[in-house]
Amino acid sequence: MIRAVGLILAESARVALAARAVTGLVLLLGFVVPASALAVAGRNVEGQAAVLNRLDDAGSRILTIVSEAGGPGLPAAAADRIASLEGVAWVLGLGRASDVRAGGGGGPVPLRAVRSIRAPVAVSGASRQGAFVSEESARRLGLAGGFGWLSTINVPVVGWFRAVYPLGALNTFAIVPVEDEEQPLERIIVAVSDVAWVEQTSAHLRDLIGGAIGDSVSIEWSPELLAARASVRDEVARRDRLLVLALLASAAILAGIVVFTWTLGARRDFGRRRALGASRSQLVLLVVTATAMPALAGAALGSLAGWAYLSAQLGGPADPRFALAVGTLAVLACCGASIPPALLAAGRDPLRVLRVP
Amino acid sequence: MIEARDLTFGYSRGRPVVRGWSATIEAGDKVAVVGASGSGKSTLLYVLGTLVRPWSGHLRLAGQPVERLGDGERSALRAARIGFVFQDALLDPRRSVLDNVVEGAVYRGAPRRAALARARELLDRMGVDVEAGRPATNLSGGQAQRVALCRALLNEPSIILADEPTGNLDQANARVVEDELSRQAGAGAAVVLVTHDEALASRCDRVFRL
Repeated sequence: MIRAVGLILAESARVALAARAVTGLVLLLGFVVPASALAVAGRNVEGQAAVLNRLDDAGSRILTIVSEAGGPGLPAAAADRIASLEGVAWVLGLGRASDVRAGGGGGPVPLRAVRSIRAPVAVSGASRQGAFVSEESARRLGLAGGFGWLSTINVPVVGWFRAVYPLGALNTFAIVPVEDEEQPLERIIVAVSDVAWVEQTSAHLRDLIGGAIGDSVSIEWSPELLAARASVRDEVARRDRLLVLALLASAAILAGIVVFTWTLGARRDFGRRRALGASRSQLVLLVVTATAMPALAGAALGSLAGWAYLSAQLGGPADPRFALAVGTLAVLACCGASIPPALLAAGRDPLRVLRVP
Repeated sequence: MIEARDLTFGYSRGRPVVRGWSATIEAGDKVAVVGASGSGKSTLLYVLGTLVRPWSGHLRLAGQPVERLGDGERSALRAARIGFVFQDALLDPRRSVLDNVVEGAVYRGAPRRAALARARELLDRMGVDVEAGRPATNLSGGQAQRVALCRALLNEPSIILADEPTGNLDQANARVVEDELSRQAGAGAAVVLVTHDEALASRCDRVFRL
Protein backbone atom coordinates (compact mmCIF):
# COMPACT_ATOMS: atom_id res chain seq x y z
CA MET A 1 0.00 0.00 0.00
CA ILE A 2 2.74 2.43 1.01
CA ARG A 3 4.76 1.49 -2.06
CA ALA A 4 1.69 1.94 -4.28
CA VAL A 5 1.09 5.44 -2.88
CA GLY A 6 4.81 6.19 -3.22
CA LEU A 7 4.71 5.17 -6.87
CA ILE A 8 1.69 7.42 -7.49
CA LEU A 9 3.49 10.31 -5.76
CA ALA A 10 6.54 9.76 -7.94
CA GLU A 11 4.28 9.63 -11.01
CA SER A 12 2.62 12.86 -9.81
CA ALA A 13 6.04 14.52 -9.70
CA ARG A 14 6.70 13.37 -13.28
CA VAL A 15 3.27 14.64 -14.35
CA ALA A 16 3.90 17.99 -12.64
CA LEU A 17 7.25 18.32 -14.39
CA ALA A 18 5.72 17.45 -17.75
CA ALA A 19 2.77 19.88 -17.39
CA ARG A 20 5.01 22.92 -16.97
CA ALA A 21 2.47 25.65 -17.66
CA VAL A 22 0.01 24.26 -15.11
CA THR A 23 2.77 23.66 -12.59
CA GLY A 24 4.09 27.19 -13.07
CA LEU A 25 0.66 28.76 -12.57
CA VAL A 26 -0.09 26.74 -9.43
CA LEU A 27 3.37 27.55 -8.07
CA LEU A 28 2.69 31.23 -8.71
CA LEU A 29 -0.66 31.04 -6.89
CA GLY A 30 0.97 29.23 -3.98
CA PHE A 31 3.58 32.01 -3.83
CA VAL A 32 1.26 34.99 -4.21
CA VAL A 33 -1.20 34.12 -1.41
CA PRO A 34 1.18 34.05 1.58
CA ALA A 35 3.47 36.72 0.13
CA SER A 36 0.59 39.17 -0.39
CA ALA A 37 -1.12 38.32 2.89
CA LEU A 38 2.07 38.82 4.86
CA ALA A 39 3.02 42.00 3.00
CA VAL A 40 -0.38 43.61 3.61
CA ALA A 41 -0.65 42.21 7.13
CA GLY A 42 2.79 43.68 7.78
CA ARG A 43 1.53 47.14 6.93
CA ASN A 44 -1.57 46.60 9.04
CA VAL A 45 0.45 45.37 11.99
CA GLU A 46 2.73 48.36 11.68
CA GLY A 47 -0.22 50.76 11.62
CA GLN A 48 -1.93 48.90 14.43
CA ALA A 49 1.21 49.04 16.57
CA ALA A 50 1.46 52.80 16.07
CA VAL A 51 -2.18 53.37 17.04
CA LEU A 52 -1.96 51.02 20.00
CA ASN A 53 1.22 52.67 21.24
CA ARG A 54 -0.54 56.01 21.15
CA LEU A 55 -3.53 54.60 22.98
CA ASP A 56 -1.24 53.04 25.57
CA ASP A 57 0.62 56.31 26.04
CA ALA A 58 -2.64 58.18 26.31
CA GLY A 59 -3.35 56.56 29.61
CA SER A 60 -5.00 53.24 29.08
CA ARG A 61 -2.33 51.75 31.34
CA ILE A 62 -3.10 54.15 34.19
CA LEU A 63 -5.35 53.46 37.19
CA THR A 64 -6.14 56.08 39.79
CA ILE A 65 -7.23 55.32 43.33
CA VAL A 66 -9.08 58.27 44.79
CA SER A 67 -10.06 58.80 48.38
CA GLU A 68 -13.46 60.48 48.55
CA ALA A 69 -13.60 63.96 50.05
CA GLY A 70 -14.08 63.70 53.79
CA GLY A 71 -12.69 60.16 53.87
CA PRO A 72 -9.71 59.04 55.91
CA GLY A 73 -7.37 59.15 52.94
CA LEU A 74 -5.04 56.47 51.64
CA PRO A 75 -2.04 55.56 53.78
CA ALA A 76 1.29 56.23 52.05
CA ALA A 77 2.35 52.65 52.85
CA ALA A 78 -0.41 51.48 50.47
CA ALA A 79 1.55 53.01 47.60
CA ASP A 80 4.53 50.86 48.54
CA ARG A 81 2.42 47.72 48.70
CA ILE A 82 0.84 48.48 45.34
CA ALA A 83 4.28 49.01 43.78
CA SER A 84 5.22 45.45 44.74
CA LEU A 85 2.31 43.97 42.73
CA GLU A 86 3.23 42.02 39.60
CA GLY A 87 2.80 44.06 36.45
CA VAL A 88 2.93 47.46 38.18
CA ALA A 89 5.43 49.76 36.46
CA TRP A 90 5.33 52.69 38.83
CA VAL A 91 3.21 54.32 41.53
CA LEU A 92 2.74 57.94 42.51
CA GLY A 93 0.88 58.89 45.67
CA LEU A 94 -0.44 62.45 45.98
CA GLY A 95 -1.60 64.27 49.12
CA ARG A 96 -4.35 66.87 49.07
CA ALA A 97 -3.40 70.11 47.36
CA SER A 98 -3.08 73.34 49.29
CA ASP A 99 -1.89 76.71 48.03
CA VAL A 100 1.47 78.05 49.18
CA ARG A 101 3.41 81.22 48.54
CA ALA A 102 7.09 82.04 48.70
CA GLY A 103 8.50 84.96 50.50
CA GLY A 104 9.52 86.73 47.25
CA GLY A 105 6.03 87.95 46.47
CA GLY A 106 5.07 85.57 43.63
CA GLY A 107 1.67 84.04 43.08
CA PRO A 108 0.22 81.08 44.89
CA VAL A 109 1.16 77.58 43.74
CA PRO A 110 -0.56 74.38 44.81
CA LEU A 111 1.55 72.09 46.93
CA ARG A 112 1.14 68.34 47.13
CA ALA A 113 2.77 65.69 49.28
CA VAL A 114 4.20 63.07 46.91
CA ARG A 115 5.12 59.39 47.39
CA SER A 116 6.93 58.27 44.23
CA ILE A 117 7.95 54.69 43.55
CA ARG A 118 9.65 54.38 40.13
CA ALA A 119 7.37 57.17 38.79
CA PRO A 120 8.68 59.42 35.98
CA VAL A 121 9.44 62.27 38.38
CA ALA A 122 13.11 63.25 38.60
CA VAL A 123 14.09 64.96 41.85
CA SER A 124 17.40 66.65 42.58
CA GLY A 125 18.42 68.51 45.68
CA ALA A 126 20.81 68.55 48.61
CA SER A 127 18.20 67.31 51.05
CA ARG A 128 14.81 65.56 51.06
CA GLN A 129 13.72 67.59 54.09
CA GLY A 130 11.81 70.35 52.33
CA ALA A 131 9.87 71.20 49.20
CA PHE A 132 10.82 70.79 45.53
CA VAL A 133 9.77 73.00 42.69
CA SER A 134 9.64 72.59 38.96
CA GLU A 135 10.82 75.32 36.60
CA GLU A 136 7.22 76.36 36.10
CA SER A 137 6.21 76.37 39.76
CA ALA A 138 9.46 78.19 40.71
CA ARG A 139 8.68 80.89 38.19
CA ARG A 140 5.12 81.26 39.47
CA LEU A 141 6.37 81.40 43.06
CA GLY A 142 8.85 84.08 42.05
CA LEU A 143 11.88 81.99 42.99
CA ALA A 144 15.13 82.72 41.16
CA GLY A 145 16.41 79.13 41.58
CA GLY A 146 15.64 75.84 43.28
CA PHE A 147 16.04 77.34 46.67
CA GLY A 148 13.86 79.56 48.83
CA TRP A 149 11.21 79.52 51.48
CA LEU A 150 7.52 78.65 51.36
CA SER A 151 6.42 81.23 53.83
CA THR A 152 2.82 80.07 54.23
CA ILE A 153 3.83 76.66 55.59
CA ASN A 154 7.33 77.49 56.81
CA VAL A 155 9.08 74.88 54.67
CA PRO A 156 12.34 75.45 52.75
CA VAL A 157 12.61 74.79 49.02
CA VAL A 158 15.56 72.40 48.73
CA GLY A 159 15.70 71.45 45.06
CA TRP A 160 14.16 70.83 41.66
CA PHE A 161 11.85 68.23 40.29
CA ARG A 162 10.73 67.48 36.79
CA ALA A 163 7.78 65.27 35.93
CA VAL A 164 7.39 63.88 32.44
CA TYR A 165 4.49 62.43 30.48
CA PRO A 166 1.94 61.32 31.62
CA LEU A 167 2.62 63.21 34.87
CA GLY A 168 3.48 66.49 33.16
CA ALA A 169 0.61 68.25 34.99
CA LEU A 170 2.55 67.80 38.24
CA ASN A 171 5.00 70.47 37.05
CA THR A 172 2.46 73.14 37.98
CA PHE A 173 2.84 72.10 41.63
CA ALA A 174 5.38 72.33 44.34
CA ILE A 175 5.89 68.96 45.99
CA VAL A 176 6.95 67.64 49.35
CA PRO A 177 8.21 64.04 49.55
CA VAL A 178 6.18 61.88 51.93
CA GLU A 179 8.41 60.12 54.42
CA ASP A 180 5.78 59.05 56.94
CA GLU A 181 4.11 55.76 55.94
CA GLU A 182 0.92 56.68 57.71
CA GLN A 183 0.53 60.05 56.05
CA PRO A 184 -2.83 60.12 54.27
CA LEU A 185 -2.87 60.56 50.51
CA GLU A 186 -5.73 61.80 48.38
CA ARG A 187 -4.96 59.66 45.37
CA ILE A 188 -2.54 57.05 44.14
CA ILE A 189 -1.75 56.85 40.44
CA VAL A 190 -0.73 53.37 39.30
CA ALA A 191 0.79 52.57 35.91
CA VAL A 192 0.90 48.96 34.78
CA SER A 193 3.53 47.76 32.34
CA ASP A 194 1.04 46.20 29.93
CA VAL A 195 -2.51 47.17 29.17
CA ALA A 196 -3.50 43.55 29.65
CA TRP A 197 -2.81 43.96 33.35
CA VAL A 198 -5.27 46.83 33.90
CA GLU A 199 -8.39 44.92 34.82
CA GLN A 200 -6.55 42.34 36.87
CA THR A 201 -4.59 44.99 38.74
CA SER A 202 -7.78 46.93 39.39
CA ALA A 203 -9.26 43.86 41.11
CA HIS A 204 -6.09 43.38 43.15
CA LEU A 205 -6.14 47.02 44.23
CA ARG A 206 -9.60 46.61 45.68
CA ASP A 207 -8.41 43.55 47.58
CA LEU A 208 -5.28 45.36 48.73
CA ILE A 209 -6.74 48.61 50.01
CA GLY A 210 -10.51 48.34 49.79
CA GLY A 211 -10.94 46.45 53.07
CA ALA A 212 -8.90 48.93 55.09
CA ILE A 213 -10.73 52.04 54.05
CA GLY A 214 -14.09 50.78 52.90
CA ASP A 215 -16.30 52.56 50.41
CA SER A 216 -14.55 55.90 50.60
CA VAL A 217 -12.18 54.82 47.86
CA SER A 218 -12.87 54.62 44.16
CA ILE A 219 -10.63 53.13 41.50
CA GLU A 220 -10.71 54.87 38.16
CA TRP A 221 -9.36 53.65 34.88
CA SER A 222 -10.30 54.16 31.32
CA PRO A 223 -12.48 51.38 29.96
CA GLU A 224 -13.17 53.52 26.88
CA LEU A 225 -9.51 53.58 25.98
CA LEU A 226 -9.22 49.88 26.58
CA ALA A 227 -12.28 49.33 24.45
CA ALA A 228 -10.81 51.55 21.74
CA ARG A 229 -7.60 49.57 21.94
CA ALA A 230 -9.42 46.27 21.65
CA SER A 231 -11.49 47.70 18.83
CA VAL A 232 -8.38 48.76 16.89
CA ARG A 233 -6.82 45.34 17.40
CA ASP A 234 -10.02 43.52 16.42
CA GLU A 235 -10.56 45.70 13.38
CA VAL A 236 -7.05 45.04 12.10
CA ALA A 237 -7.41 41.34 12.84
CA ARG A 238 -10.78 41.31 11.04
CA ARG A 239 -9.28 43.04 8.01
CA ASP A 240 -6.39 40.57 7.99
CA ARG A 241 -8.81 37.66 8.18
CA LEU A 242 -10.90 39.08 5.35
CA LEU A 243 -7.82 39.68 3.26
CA VAL A 244 -6.50 36.17 3.82
CA LEU A 245 -9.93 34.70 3.06
CA ALA A 246 -10.24 36.77 -0.12
CA LEU A 247 -6.77 35.72 -1.24
CA LEU A 248 -7.46 32.07 -0.45
CA ALA A 249 -10.79 32.16 -2.27
CA SER A 250 -9.20 33.79 -5.32
CA ALA A 251 -6.36 31.28 -5.29
CA ALA A 252 -8.79 28.39 -4.96
CA ILE A 253 -10.93 29.61 -7.85
CA LEU A 254 -7.94 30.23 -10.11
CA ALA A 255 -6.30 26.92 -9.16
CA GLY A 256 -9.60 25.16 -9.84
CA ILE A 257 -9.83 26.76 -13.29
CA VAL A 258 -6.20 25.95 -14.12
CA VAL A 259 -6.50 22.31 -13.03
CA PHE A 260 -9.89 21.90 -14.70
CA THR A 261 -8.51 23.26 -17.98
CA TRP A 262 -5.55 20.92 -17.69
CA THR A 263 -7.62 17.81 -17.00
CA LEU A 264 -10.02 18.73 -19.78
CA GLY A 265 -7.15 19.01 -22.24
CA ALA A 266 -5.67 15.75 -20.99
CA ARG A 267 -8.86 13.66 -21.36
CA ARG A 268 -7.21 11.04 -23.53
CA ASP A 269 -4.23 10.98 -21.21
CA PHE A 270 -6.51 10.08 -18.31
CA GLY A 271 -8.38 7.57 -20.46
CA ARG A 272 -5.08 5.87 -21.31
CA ARG A 273 -4.17 5.75 -17.62
CA ARG A 274 -7.51 4.11 -16.86
CA ALA A 275 -6.87 1.51 -19.55
CA LEU A 276 -3.42 0.85 -18.12
CA GLY A 277 -4.96 0.04 -14.74
CA ALA A 278 -5.33 3.34 -12.88
CA SER A 279 -8.32 3.32 -10.57
CA ARG A 280 -10.44 6.42 -10.11
CA SER A 281 -9.00 7.01 -6.66
CA GLN A 282 -5.46 6.72 -8.04
CA LEU A 283 -6.29 9.34 -10.68
CA VAL A 284 -7.75 11.68 -8.06
CA LEU A 285 -4.62 11.22 -5.94
CA LEU A 286 -2.46 11.82 -9.02
CA VAL A 287 -4.16 15.12 -9.89
CA VAL A 288 -4.33 16.39 -6.31
CA THR A 289 -0.70 15.60 -5.52
CA ALA A 290 0.48 16.93 -8.89
CA THR A 291 -1.24 20.19 -7.82
CA ALA A 292 -0.04 20.01 -4.23
CA MET A 293 3.65 19.77 -5.16
CA PRO A 294 4.00 23.13 -6.96
CA ALA A 295 1.53 24.71 -4.51
CA LEU A 296 3.71 23.57 -1.64
CA ALA A 297 6.88 24.86 -3.29
CA GLY A 298 5.23 28.19 -4.11
CA ALA A 299 3.74 28.56 -0.64
CA ALA A 300 7.08 27.80 0.99
CA LEU A 301 8.79 30.47 -1.11
CA GLY A 302 5.92 32.95 -0.66
CA SER A 303 5.78 32.43 3.10
CA LEU A 304 9.52 32.88 3.39
CA ALA A 305 9.51 36.03 1.26
CA GLY A 306 6.48 37.44 3.10
CA TRP A 307 7.98 36.63 6.47
CA ALA A 308 11.23 38.35 5.50
CA TYR A 309 9.30 41.44 4.36
CA LEU A 310 7.17 41.46 7.50
CA SER A 311 10.24 41.10 9.69
CA ALA A 312 11.86 44.01 7.89
CA GLN A 313 8.72 46.11 8.46
CA LEU A 314 8.62 45.23 12.15
CA GLY A 315 12.35 45.70 12.63
CA GLY A 316 12.78 42.21 14.06
CA PRO A 317 11.84 38.61 13.40
CA ALA A 318 8.08 38.32 12.86
CA ASP A 319 6.11 35.48 14.43
CA PRO A 320 6.64 32.63 11.94
CA ARG A 321 3.33 30.97 12.87
CA PHE A 322 1.27 33.42 10.80
CA ALA A 323 3.47 32.83 7.76
CA LEU A 324 3.27 29.09 8.31
CA ALA A 325 -0.50 29.18 8.74
CA VAL A 326 -1.13 31.28 5.63
CA GLY A 327 1.26 29.11 3.58
CA THR A 328 -0.47 25.95 4.76
CA LEU A 329 -3.89 27.41 3.96
CA ALA A 330 -2.67 28.38 0.48
CA VAL A 331 -1.59 24.79 -0.18
CA LEU A 332 -4.87 23.46 1.19
CA ALA A 333 -6.84 25.93 -0.96
CA CYS A 334 -5.03 24.82 -4.14
CA CYS A 335 -5.37 21.13 -3.24
CA GLY A 336 -9.02 21.54 -2.30
CA ALA A 337 -9.69 23.34 -5.58
CA SER A 338 -8.07 20.52 -7.53
CA ILE A 339 -10.41 17.88 -6.07
CA PRO A 340 -13.53 18.67 -8.18
CA PRO A 341 -11.63 18.64 -11.50
CA ALA A 342 -9.78 15.53 -10.32
CA LEU A 343 -13.08 13.79 -9.60
CA LEU A 344 -14.41 14.89 -12.99
CA ALA A 345 -11.30 13.59 -14.75
CA ALA A 346 -11.40 10.29 -12.87
CA GLY A 347 -15.10 9.82 -13.47
CA ARG A 348 -15.03 10.57 -17.19
CA ASP A 349 -16.06 7.63 -19.37
CA PRO A 350 -12.79 6.28 -20.80
CA LEU A 351 -14.54 4.79 -23.81
CA ARG A 352 -15.66 8.14 -25.10
CA VAL A 353 -12.13 9.50 -25.08
CA LEU A 354 -10.27 6.40 -26.20
CA ARG A 355 -12.39 5.39 -29.17
CA VAL A 356 -11.20 6.60 -32.54
CA PRO A 357 -14.26 7.51 -34.63
CA MET B 1 -9.32 -17.09 -19.99
CA ILE B 2 -12.20 -14.91 -21.26
CA GLU B 3 -15.71 -16.20 -20.77
CA ALA B 4 -18.49 -13.90 -22.01
CA ARG B 5 -22.18 -14.71 -21.88
CA ASP B 6 -24.84 -12.48 -23.46
CA LEU B 7 -22.88 -9.26 -23.01
CA THR B 8 -24.94 -6.20 -23.83
CA PHE B 9 -23.75 -2.61 -23.68
CA GLY B 10 -24.51 0.75 -25.26
CA TYR B 11 -23.90 4.45 -24.81
CA SER B 12 -27.50 5.64 -24.66
CA ARG B 13 -30.47 4.03 -23.01
CA GLY B 14 -32.33 1.48 -25.11
CA ARG B 15 -29.76 1.55 -27.93
CA PRO B 16 -27.28 -1.23 -27.29
CA VAL B 17 -24.15 -1.27 -29.40
CA VAL B 18 -23.04 -4.72 -28.25
CA ARG B 19 -26.00 -7.10 -28.23
CA GLY B 20 -25.87 -10.41 -26.40
CA TRP B 21 -22.28 -11.27 -27.36
CA SER B 22 -21.03 -14.64 -26.09
CA ALA B 23 -17.67 -16.34 -26.52
CA THR B 24 -15.05 -18.31 -24.68
CA ILE B 25 -11.48 -17.45 -25.49
CA GLU B 26 -8.85 -19.73 -24.03
CA ALA B 27 -5.27 -19.02 -23.10
CA GLY B 28 -3.15 -19.14 -26.24
CA ASP B 29 -6.05 -18.17 -28.52
CA LYS B 30 -5.61 -15.34 -30.99
CA VAL B 31 -9.01 -14.21 -32.15
CA ALA B 32 -10.19 -11.38 -34.37
CA VAL B 33 -13.31 -9.27 -34.08
CA VAL B 34 -14.36 -7.79 -37.40
CA GLY B 35 -17.31 -5.76 -38.54
CA ALA B 36 -18.42 -2.56 -40.16
CA SER B 37 -17.68 0.82 -38.62
CA GLY B 38 -20.04 1.47 -35.73
CA SER B 39 -20.81 -2.21 -35.26
CA GLY B 40 -19.42 -2.09 -31.71
CA LYS B 41 -16.03 -3.79 -32.19
CA SER B 42 -14.01 -1.32 -30.10
CA THR B 43 -16.80 -1.02 -27.56
CA LEU B 44 -16.80 -4.81 -27.11
CA LEU B 45 -13.04 -4.69 -26.58
CA TYR B 46 -13.38 -2.10 -23.81
CA VAL B 47 -16.20 -4.08 -22.19
CA LEU B 48 -13.92 -7.16 -22.20
CA GLY B 49 -11.18 -4.95 -20.77
CA THR B 50 -13.38 -3.98 -17.78
CA LEU B 51 -13.25 -0.29 -18.64
CA VAL B 52 -17.05 -0.27 -18.49
CA ARG B 53 -19.64 -2.53 -16.95
CA PRO B 54 -21.92 -4.34 -19.38
CA TRP B 55 -25.61 -3.55 -19.09
CA SER B 56 -26.30 -7.25 -18.81
CA GLY B 57 -24.61 -10.61 -19.27
CA HIS B 58 -21.72 -12.27 -17.51
CA LEU B 59 -18.01 -11.87 -17.92
CA ARG B 60 -15.26 -13.96 -16.33
CA LEU B 61 -11.61 -13.11 -16.81
CA ALA B 62 -9.01 -15.64 -15.73
CA GLY B 63 -11.76 -17.46 -13.87
CA GLN B 64 -12.89 -14.36 -11.99
CA PRO B 65 -16.40 -12.93 -12.44
CA VAL B 66 -15.94 -9.22 -12.98
CA GLU B 67 -19.46 -7.78 -13.16
CA ARG B 68 -19.66 -7.17 -9.45
CA LEU B 69 -16.11 -6.00 -8.86
CA GLY B 70 -15.67 -2.41 -7.72
CA ASP B 71 -13.61 0.11 -9.66
CA GLY B 72 -10.49 -0.53 -7.58
CA GLU B 73 -10.62 -4.28 -8.12
CA ARG B 74 -11.36 -3.98 -11.83
CA SER B 75 -8.52 -1.50 -12.20
CA ALA B 76 -6.16 -3.82 -10.34
CA LEU B 77 -7.23 -6.68 -12.60
CA ARG B 78 -6.59 -4.50 -15.65
CA ALA B 79 -3.18 -3.47 -14.40
CA ALA B 80 -2.12 -7.02 -13.61
CA ARG B 81 -3.79 -9.12 -16.32
CA ILE B 82 -4.75 -7.01 -19.30
CA GLY B 83 -2.62 -5.27 -21.90
CA PHE B 84 -4.31 -2.69 -24.14
CA VAL B 85 -3.05 -1.68 -27.57
CA PHE B 86 -4.88 1.27 -29.08
CA GLN B 87 -5.28 2.24 -32.73
CA ASP B 88 -3.17 5.33 -32.23
CA ALA B 89 -0.34 4.69 -29.86
CA LEU B 90 -1.56 7.18 -27.23
CA LEU B 91 1.92 7.92 -25.94
CA ASP B 92 2.61 10.97 -23.79
CA PRO B 93 4.79 13.04 -26.12
CA ARG B 94 6.30 15.10 -23.30
CA ARG B 95 7.79 12.09 -21.60
CA SER B 96 10.59 9.78 -22.56
CA VAL B 97 10.08 6.56 -24.47
CA LEU B 98 11.08 4.59 -21.36
CA ASP B 99 8.71 6.53 -19.11
CA ASN B 100 5.88 5.80 -21.53
CA VAL B 101 6.61 2.09 -21.49
CA VAL B 102 6.82 1.78 -17.70
CA GLU B 103 3.69 3.83 -16.97
CA GLY B 104 1.54 0.76 -16.33
CA ALA B 105 3.89 -0.45 -13.60
CA VAL B 106 2.85 2.53 -11.48
CA TYR B 107 -0.76 1.36 -11.23
CA ARG B 108 0.25 -2.22 -10.63
CA GLY B 109 2.55 -1.13 -7.80
CA ALA B 110 5.56 -2.78 -9.42
CA PRO B 111 9.07 -1.53 -8.55
CA ARG B 112 10.32 1.02 -11.06
CA ARG B 113 13.79 -0.45 -11.39
CA ALA B 114 12.48 -3.85 -12.43
CA ALA B 115 9.97 -2.17 -14.75
CA LEU B 116 12.74 -0.17 -16.44
CA ALA B 117 14.80 -3.32 -17.01
CA ARG B 118 11.80 -5.11 -18.52
CA ALA B 119 11.00 -2.05 -20.67
CA ARG B 120 14.54 -1.98 -22.08
CA GLU B 121 14.31 -5.68 -22.88
CA LEU B 122 10.96 -5.23 -24.66
CA LEU B 123 12.15 -2.19 -26.63
CA ASP B 124 15.18 -4.15 -27.72
CA ARG B 125 13.07 -7.15 -28.73
CA MET B 126 10.65 -4.95 -30.67
CA GLY B 127 13.55 -3.31 -32.47
CA VAL B 128 12.78 0.19 -31.29
CA ASP B 129 16.01 1.78 -32.31
CA VAL B 130 15.73 5.10 -30.47
CA GLU B 131 17.37 6.49 -27.42
CA ALA B 132 15.04 5.31 -24.65
CA GLY B 133 15.51 8.49 -22.62
CA ARG B 134 14.49 10.84 -25.40
CA PRO B 135 10.97 12.32 -25.47
CA ALA B 136 8.40 10.35 -27.44
CA THR B 137 7.52 13.45 -29.51
CA ASN B 138 9.25 12.65 -32.74
CA LEU B 139 8.69 8.94 -33.06
CA SER B 140 7.40 7.68 -36.37
CA GLY B 141 3.97 6.01 -36.40
CA GLY B 142 5.53 2.56 -36.56
CA GLN B 143 7.97 3.28 -33.74
CA ALA B 144 5.20 4.76 -31.60
CA GLN B 145 2.98 1.70 -32.06
CA ARG B 146 5.85 -0.63 -31.18
CA VAL B 147 6.53 1.45 -28.06
CA ALA B 148 2.81 1.21 -27.23
CA LEU B 149 2.98 -2.57 -27.66
CA CYS B 150 5.95 -2.67 -25.28
CA ARG B 151 3.83 -0.69 -22.79
CA ALA B 152 0.98 -3.19 -23.13
CA LEU B 153 3.34 -6.12 -22.56
CA LEU B 154 5.22 -4.63 -19.62
CA ASN B 155 3.19 -6.36 -16.91
CA GLU B 156 3.22 -9.68 -18.81
CA PRO B 157 -0.55 -9.68 -19.30
CA SER B 158 -2.46 -12.90 -19.79
CA ILE B 159 -5.05 -11.04 -21.88
CA ILE B 160 -4.11 -8.69 -24.70
CA LEU B 161 -6.80 -6.49 -26.22
CA ALA B 162 -5.72 -4.72 -29.39
CA ASP B 163 -7.89 -2.13 -31.15
CA GLU B 164 -6.81 -1.85 -34.79
CA PRO B 165 -3.17 -2.25 -33.77
CA THR B 166 -1.91 -2.21 -37.34
CA GLY B 167 -4.48 0.20 -38.74
CA ASN B 168 -2.07 3.12 -39.12
CA LEU B 169 1.11 1.17 -39.89
CA ASP B 170 3.05 0.34 -43.00
CA GLN B 171 3.45 -3.30 -43.94
CA ALA B 172 6.79 -3.82 -42.21
CA ASN B 173 5.70 -2.31 -38.93
CA ALA B 174 2.35 -4.10 -39.10
CA ARG B 175 4.25 -7.36 -39.51
CA VAL B 176 6.37 -6.68 -36.41
CA VAL B 177 3.28 -5.95 -34.32
CA GLU B 178 1.37 -8.94 -35.62
CA ASP B 179 4.33 -11.26 -35.05
CA GLU B 180 4.65 -10.07 -31.46
CA LEU B 181 0.95 -10.61 -30.81
CA SER B 182 1.26 -14.14 -32.26
CA ARG B 183 4.28 -14.73 -30.09
CA GLN B 184 2.32 -13.64 -27.00
CA ALA B 185 -0.51 -16.02 -27.91
CA GLY B 186 2.07 -18.74 -28.36
CA ALA B 187 3.34 -17.98 -24.88
CA GLY B 188 -0.15 -18.51 -23.44
CA ALA B 189 -1.84 -15.12 -23.61
CA ALA B 190 -5.38 -14.72 -24.89
CA VAL B 191 -5.20 -12.16 -27.70
CA VAL B 192 -8.27 -10.34 -29.03
CA LEU B 193 -7.76 -8.20 -32.11
CA VAL B 194 -10.26 -5.73 -33.45
CA THR B 195 -9.50 -5.13 -37.09
CA HIS B 196 -10.83 -4.13 -40.47
CA ASP B 197 -8.05 -6.06 -42.10
CA GLU B 198 -9.55 -9.33 -43.38
CA ALA B 199 -6.10 -10.73 -44.15
CA LEU B 200 -4.98 -10.14 -40.58
CA ALA B 201 -8.24 -11.65 -39.30
CA SER B 202 -7.76 -14.71 -41.46
CA ARG B 203 -4.44 -15.40 -39.76
CA CYS B 204 -6.18 -15.59 -36.36
CA ASP B 205 -7.47 -18.78 -34.77
CA ARG B 206 -11.07 -17.59 -34.85
CA VAL B 207 -12.99 -14.65 -36.22
CA PHE B 208 -16.07 -13.04 -34.62
CA ARG B 209 -18.18 -10.93 -36.92
CA LEU B 210 -20.36 -8.16 -35.54
